[in-house]
Amino acid sequence: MEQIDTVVEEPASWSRRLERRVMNPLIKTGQGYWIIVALLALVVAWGVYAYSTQLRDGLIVTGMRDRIQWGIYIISFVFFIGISHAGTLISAILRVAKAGWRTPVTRIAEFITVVALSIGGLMPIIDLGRPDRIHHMFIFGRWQSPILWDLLSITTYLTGSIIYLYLPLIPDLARCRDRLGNEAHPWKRAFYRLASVGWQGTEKQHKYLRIAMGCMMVLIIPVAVSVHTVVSWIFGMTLREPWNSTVFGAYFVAGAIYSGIATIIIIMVILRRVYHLEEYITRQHFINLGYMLGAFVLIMLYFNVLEYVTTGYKLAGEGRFHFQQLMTGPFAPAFWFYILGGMVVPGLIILNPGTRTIPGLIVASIFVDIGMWLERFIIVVTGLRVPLMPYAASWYTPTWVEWSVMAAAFAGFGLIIAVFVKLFPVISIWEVEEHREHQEAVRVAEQSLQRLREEAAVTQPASRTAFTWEGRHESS
Amino acid sequence: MNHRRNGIHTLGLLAILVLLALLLFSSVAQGAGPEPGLTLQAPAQGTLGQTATVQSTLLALGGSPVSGATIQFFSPASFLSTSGEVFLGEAVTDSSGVAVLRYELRSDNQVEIIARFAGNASYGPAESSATIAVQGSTQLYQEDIGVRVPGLNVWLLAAILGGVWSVYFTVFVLVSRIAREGVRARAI
Repeated sequence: MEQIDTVVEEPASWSRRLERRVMNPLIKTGQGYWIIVALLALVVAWGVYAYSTQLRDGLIVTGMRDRIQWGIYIISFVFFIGISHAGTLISAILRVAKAGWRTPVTRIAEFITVVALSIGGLMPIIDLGRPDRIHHMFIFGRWQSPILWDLLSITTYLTGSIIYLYLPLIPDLARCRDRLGNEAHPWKRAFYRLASVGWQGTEKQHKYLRIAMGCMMVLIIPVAVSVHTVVSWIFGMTLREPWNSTVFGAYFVAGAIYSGIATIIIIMVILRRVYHLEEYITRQHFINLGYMLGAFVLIMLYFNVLEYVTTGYKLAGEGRFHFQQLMTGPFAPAFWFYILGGMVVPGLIILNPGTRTIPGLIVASIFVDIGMWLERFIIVVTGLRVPLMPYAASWYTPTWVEWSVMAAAFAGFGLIIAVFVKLFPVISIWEVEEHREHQEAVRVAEQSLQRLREEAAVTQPASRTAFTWEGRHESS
Repeated sequence: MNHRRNGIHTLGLLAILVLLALLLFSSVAQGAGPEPGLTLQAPAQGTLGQTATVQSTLLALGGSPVSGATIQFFSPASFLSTSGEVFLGEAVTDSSGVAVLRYELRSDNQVEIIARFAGNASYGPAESSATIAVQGSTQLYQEDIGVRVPGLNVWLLAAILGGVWSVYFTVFVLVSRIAREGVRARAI
């Protein structure tokens, strides 16, 4: 393949323009990028300092105590694992469903998955008082424990997500290898050469890639579903009244996809704006994702009705305490923000055509993410707050260490994405091209069909001949 | 002069009365009468997992049995850096002053049992101990909780995981074929 000087020069074709637009960020970095990276790195460094105090002094520096022994770390763990579903699951479902509009979206979604999983996977280790004993999970772990299931399923999902991100990257990495030439840094060129595994775009290579992607897109869906189900079982299989729910698995999976879509929308808006991808990530992509978000608003509302109407109707045992603390008690503001802000408001924004715009969807997505973080807070903290014995209900107040570590986790999430976008094309160029070619072929076919109809109307006006899409020749 | 002597006598008598009252009060405050005799009989040897019968007898100073008294039984134990006494149970003495505890021997080697009477209004506290040499290495933990569903075990988990990872391996093989095909295409 020839080297492109069009990375900086004149656009020749649609394909070339796409290539240039997507590959430009890989070789050009503005000052704003470094400022953002520096800010994010600063927050991460502060979080590392906060964590070092925890390592030195122990978990006493956190707000977690014997009665409420899980806090922000586990909340963030569930949150990040949740948004990780966005990527792989949504991308895989859309691929399996052959939804053509997905092509500019999938890469970003898959990035989010890998990054969110990596950050989320760190949180339970941070939650440990003695992280140096992490290997005890393997030495003394019991197969009957959901904690071990979680460890296995997250490891499996992370591996699968990396593979699933990597496979469609191969042709694009080869393109970077061939087109960027000397414009890319030598280490980057070496990386592209190595990572593109000698891709030449031959028929056989396409065949192998199709088979591999086919296997992964089907497999990754149950793996992703199982991961969040197992995460829910950490709660559901613990003897705590508020967690005694058979729908917890489905509730967690739905919540994960819901917050995942919202996160994709937010990140897509940022990348679209920064890298001027308006031509490829169009308003319609956001509207489609908005419809998906809207569907999950209904699913989440349904699950909440299931959960709280049954508990509130029976008010049995400790359920009364739990119900009261959520509905009218100290957690009522958080709970009602989750219900109204996290579901009702986004639902109304999506439902109303006037607000179903990109800014509207950004607002809805931010509300969803805040609401879903609060949902995890409610599940973890209020679940543990219900007294197991006749003692006064305790309280959990996160300390600066926990807030700092959480801020670092979010900053780390942004930082890794910032690094990713400098290394990999944010849009799957070859898939977008394929989709474009397919659309072009359909357009040509439609034009031909229209011509045939017109000719038939001229030559056989009396028979009122009509051609249909299926190619049938209908006469009356 | 007589009057003064009488005063001294009165003061002395008063002091003796106060002392007696103080003595009486202090003994009542301690809840202690005379200390009874408490003995503990336990088998010298036992087997791990077996139930041992330990018998404690509470007798008053004159040798008469004390009935209706609660005897508590403990065993010293230590876990990591914490030491203390594990409460084994309690029994009430019968008309012969005997309290019996049936106790499952759940740790091996020398197991010390302590019988303790806290005391009451009539008798002071008393304590006695005995040691049982426990032998055996039986696994006392029994997995009898829940329902055992045939086939629902670790192998099912291993099979699912194995299935997923073998697909990953297949994909890895396909990627290596892509690489091989690339080498072949470049050579052409």
